Amino acid sequence: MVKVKYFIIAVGLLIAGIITFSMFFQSEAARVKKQFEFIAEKIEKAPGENHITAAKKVARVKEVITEPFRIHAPAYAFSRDTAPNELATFILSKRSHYSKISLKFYDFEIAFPEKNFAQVNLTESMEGQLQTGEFIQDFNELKCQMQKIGGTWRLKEIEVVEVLKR
Amino acid sequence: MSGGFNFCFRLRYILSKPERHDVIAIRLAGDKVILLKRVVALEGDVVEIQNGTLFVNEKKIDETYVRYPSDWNLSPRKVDKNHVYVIGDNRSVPIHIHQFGQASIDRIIGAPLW
Repeated sequence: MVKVKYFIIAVGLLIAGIITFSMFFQSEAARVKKQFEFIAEKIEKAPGENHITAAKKVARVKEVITEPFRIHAPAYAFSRDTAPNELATFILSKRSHYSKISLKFYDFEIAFPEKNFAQVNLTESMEGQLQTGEFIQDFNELKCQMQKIGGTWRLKEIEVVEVLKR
Repeated sequence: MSGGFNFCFRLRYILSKPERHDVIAIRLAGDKVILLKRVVALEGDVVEIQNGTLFVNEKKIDETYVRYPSDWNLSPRKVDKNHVYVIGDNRSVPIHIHQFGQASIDRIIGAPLW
């Protein structure tokens, strides 16, 4: 009877351990995912947005990237380390060509190869309208490296995967 | 990809390979967002575009499915093994904006049903 009791306690502890581990793991993945939602929100643009709002929004992207931040696009033979301020200026400049931008991220595959590091594979979907009226759609597969610094997941590197090679 | 919603027939290429002029579904990181593109050339073919006209192996291809003429130019290039060359039917946009090129067979998840 005593053995059965210990067995039930052991199984209970094991289940509790698994649940705790999975909750921790899921919450870390959710935290990572949330950073992409944050980035999308700051890059998106509504028609009629004023310059001050734009500058304030884009400046907040700096909160979720490391210094330096690396952009790698093998298809364009482009690879560069950039400082947060430089990136924010670049985003602001690109956004100014658009009257409207919608940015979404899909199909997250998140792995934690080591403590405080995450590898994220996802699809980026950007739809926008240029100031000239032309509609733009852009879909990319991205491989991202993230690092947790001071309790915050930050983007360390983005690689644009070459799905269609010209 | 039109930003719309499409049904994909996943079994389409289980027993066969894509052929020229097929419209195929190409996955990105997953299958929530897919690219719908037309196969214009197969592995080993040489693709070229001259002032909007497609040439495959130096032969002019009559593309009745292209809605708007383009002025695109693309120097000749050979399609790699296990790849197909795909281009969208909407070529009214500048060539640098349009997503096209050779896709690995592994990325083809089927064909759109409608």
